[in-house]
Amino acid sequence: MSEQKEQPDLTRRDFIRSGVRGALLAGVGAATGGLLARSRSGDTVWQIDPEKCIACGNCATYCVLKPSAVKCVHAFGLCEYCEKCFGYFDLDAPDVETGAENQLCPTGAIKRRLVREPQYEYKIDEQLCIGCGKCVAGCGQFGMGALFLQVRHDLCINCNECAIAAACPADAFRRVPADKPYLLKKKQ
Amino acid sequence: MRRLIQFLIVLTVSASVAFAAAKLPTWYNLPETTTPAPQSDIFEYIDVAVLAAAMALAAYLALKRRSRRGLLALTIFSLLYFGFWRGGCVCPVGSIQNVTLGLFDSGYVVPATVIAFFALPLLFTLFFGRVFCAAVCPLGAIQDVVLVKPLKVPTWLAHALGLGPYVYLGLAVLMAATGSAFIICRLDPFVGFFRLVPLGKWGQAIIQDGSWPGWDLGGRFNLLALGACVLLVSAFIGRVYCRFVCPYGALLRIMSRFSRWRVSITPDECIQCRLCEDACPFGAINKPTRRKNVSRSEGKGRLAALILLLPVMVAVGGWLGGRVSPALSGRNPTIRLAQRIRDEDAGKVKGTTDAAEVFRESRRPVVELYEEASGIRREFLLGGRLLGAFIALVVMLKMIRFSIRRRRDDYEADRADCLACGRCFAHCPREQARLKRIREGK
Amino acid sequence: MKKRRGISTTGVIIAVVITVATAAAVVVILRFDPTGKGGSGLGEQFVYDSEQYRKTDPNLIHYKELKPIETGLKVARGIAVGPDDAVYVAGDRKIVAFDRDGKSIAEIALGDPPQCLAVEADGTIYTGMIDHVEVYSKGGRRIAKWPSVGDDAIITSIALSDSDVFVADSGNSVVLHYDKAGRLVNRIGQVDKERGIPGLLVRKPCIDVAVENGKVLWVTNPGRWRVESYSFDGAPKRHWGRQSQEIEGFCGCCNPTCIAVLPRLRQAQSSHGWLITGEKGLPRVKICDETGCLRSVVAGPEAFAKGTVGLDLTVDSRGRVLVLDPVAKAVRVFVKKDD
Ligand code: SF4
Ligand code: SF4
Ligand code: SF4
Repeated sequence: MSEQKEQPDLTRRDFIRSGVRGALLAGVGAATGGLLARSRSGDTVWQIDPEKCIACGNCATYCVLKPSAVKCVHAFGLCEYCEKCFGYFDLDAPDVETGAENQLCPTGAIKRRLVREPQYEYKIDEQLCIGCGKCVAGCGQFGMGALFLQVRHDLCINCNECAIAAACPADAFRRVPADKPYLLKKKQ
Repeated sequence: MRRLIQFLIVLTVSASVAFAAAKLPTWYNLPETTTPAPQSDIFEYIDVAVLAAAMALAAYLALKRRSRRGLLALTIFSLLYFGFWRGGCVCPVGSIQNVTLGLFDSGYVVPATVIAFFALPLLFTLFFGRVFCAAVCPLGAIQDVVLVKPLKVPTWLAHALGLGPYVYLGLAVLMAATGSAFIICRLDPFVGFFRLVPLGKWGQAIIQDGSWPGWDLGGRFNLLALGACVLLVSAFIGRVYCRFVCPYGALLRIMSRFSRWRVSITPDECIQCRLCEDACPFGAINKPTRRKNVSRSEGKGRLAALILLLPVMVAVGGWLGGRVSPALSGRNPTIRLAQRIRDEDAGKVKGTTDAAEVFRESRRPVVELYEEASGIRREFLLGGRLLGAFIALVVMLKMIRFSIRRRRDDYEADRADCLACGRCFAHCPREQARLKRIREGK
Repeated sequence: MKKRRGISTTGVIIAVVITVATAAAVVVILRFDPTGKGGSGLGEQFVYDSEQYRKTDPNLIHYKELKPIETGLKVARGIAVGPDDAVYVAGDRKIVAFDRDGKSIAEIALGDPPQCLAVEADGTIYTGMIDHVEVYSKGGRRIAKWPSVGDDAIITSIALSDSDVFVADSGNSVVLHYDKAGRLVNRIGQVDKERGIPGLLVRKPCIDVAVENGKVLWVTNPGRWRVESYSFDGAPKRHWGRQSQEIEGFCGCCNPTCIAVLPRLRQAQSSHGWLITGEKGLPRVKICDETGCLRSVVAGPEAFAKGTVGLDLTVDSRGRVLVLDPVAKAVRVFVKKDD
């Protein structure tokens, strides 16, 4: 703003400067314009593809949040309400009593309730769940696969690069449109 | 109508029976899997609007109003809003990677708001100088508010470290373009702090369901430790991240060099009083050139030599970049997996990893993986060469700039270095006069 | 740089702070593990460990594996043995056949995705679609398409005797007994308190049927972790099996998922009523005698990919156990070690 000392040298420099400025403007404009043309108005969010997830446990510890924004969810429609639930009871549990020593979840986050003998309902207490995926592995291997991990969007802060995605060995994370933010398991 | 309803009932009933081996009692209502929604899009647009408004305000405060106090207030606001409220993500610094990936990978869609976050500060800088850095960038703001005792970094060191942003920028672009990693996000030193006090999450929880979500959100130790270190250093070396690391800063420096308007230390004319000489905590103030000790012919000779050397150095840089590209490509997950599989098959490593196991169980042919990996390696070779050439170019241009003796009569803020923070204003007696704090004249 | 007037204490402190902080930052960056190399770092109590069950006592394994037959299918569903020990595999929308040496000999295109199949001694093929059965001649011509069993049906297995066709309908937890012309004769395995039939229980659709000696029908009852035998009129005969992760039992929530009757071999006259069973969860194939006692392991979990679901198996006249591996999309061939 204070370049009014009219020297020929300065004006030439000014001229070059505005030329380059124009070029830079055009460059930024072209790049963003090109991207905008293909862009979507809505944002995207991270989500786990439950078909790919191997319940490795990284979700519990690699999230930038503590406890993790990833929690276990339950597809009730897939669940068989088994008395001996492999997501609820330890693999070596001697009996099907709801004692803590028989429970598989290390944080006691799965709540069991009798529906009608011998059917039991299992529900996840998300306050307690840390997303370790232990129950997911159990239900997936021996049961119906009704328990699976999902990024909970009331918790997730939608990092630019999800820290778990970077550490996921199964390449299970991907970005999904924010208006369809879950990849729930369904009956095939 | 009733028929239709009956028909529908029959349909739904038969559909639910299909797999149901466990016939649940009729009184039992199947609970629904809850799907809490992510933050509404509206907030993203508000963020863009706030960004634009804050930069406009910063430009006004720095160029027109010349108010350091105003800029400081805006800095604190930005720290709270873009830092703690928004949680720091996506910031313009990180958006470099989204834009790069978007340009290289046609399958990757960049949301409009992210594009805006990338482009708006660049455009503002092209017109007003680095007003984004001055008082809007949360990363800058957090360093700015902890600056207690600025030390002067020796010029040679400052220039050497000043290459950092360009190297980082090049690396980040290479990693994003190859779809390998967003390294800027991984190494963001401050985001841990922003998440430690996630005002936004708390605010939303309180607005949405009137509840206090509790203290259970926190950053990870590593990130916090890194942030603490950087903050400690930036208490003495002002804005150490902005000056010697920030890759977006590298872009902004380029923009700022050609900006339409810019901050000036004095409101009208420089009276060579030298009072502002040490005013800038970031070493951005250039002294007037002393005419006598320049031997023009010597300078010219050096310049000619440098210009001749330029293509050679760029070629050497490119070659070197190609040489280091294998090391860089090791960051790519596909290449890492291929390497792992190769090592396992050759018996070089014991056991297996989760990723290798997943790959083997997918029954994908190994050759396919190897082919994909070597494709990415080729990309890295090209990218590494370009990166090397780019860095060499930056170095050479820097040296050329040194040997061009530009005449400067006044004390001026360096176009690229100046962060438009406005700290120097108060040191200028002309400014004091403008503000009527001292009487004009000698 | 003009300010260097002696060194003050604050200067020293600041220098030390900066050095230490920079060094610490470098250390932290070097210790970063963003790619998950270090694992989750969770304690042992957070790790689901079924590894102990994935290893089989080698002394129990009496079979060795030969070169598998690649089916070339994308989805491999069912396997059966036809005349001359030809191997038939159903999957995608076709049936592919291989001779006893694994050479491809035929391919029959189908209109629907097949779930299972059975082949008669004369080469006639019965294949189960989700809800109906189709019959093909040896040459691949469709001879008959039986009517749909119903909307809820999920046909998972077919077994043949001289004049009967048994179709396992996992959707309705029943075995349908047809004659060769496709007329429904009987329903087997439904709950019947008087006859002491608890009913078939399935979670994932996986009821399998097999015929022993042309006289006895064997059915899996996975939800009860057992196999049951019936006479052709539906009268229950025997059953055995129990839930256990150990190799002696049937693991998980529902197993076994497939069975085959071991043919009576010259050298093993006593193998009368012995069954080969296949499981999911811990994918494993083993042979139990008529009382359910484990006699040998054909292939333990270590032979299959983790999480393999949907094995099917059969056995040819030479006693080779043919296991259709849906993950490898290949027929895995196992023979007795001393053969
Ligand atoms: S990191 Fe990946 S594989 Fe591991 S539990 Fe999370 S989503 Fe599943
Ligand atoms: S086992 Fe782990 S993932 Fe499952 S409910 Fe418990 S804490 Fe959550
Ligand atoms: S995006 Fe961030 S907050 Fe969300 S799950 Fe990933 S790491 Fe956690």
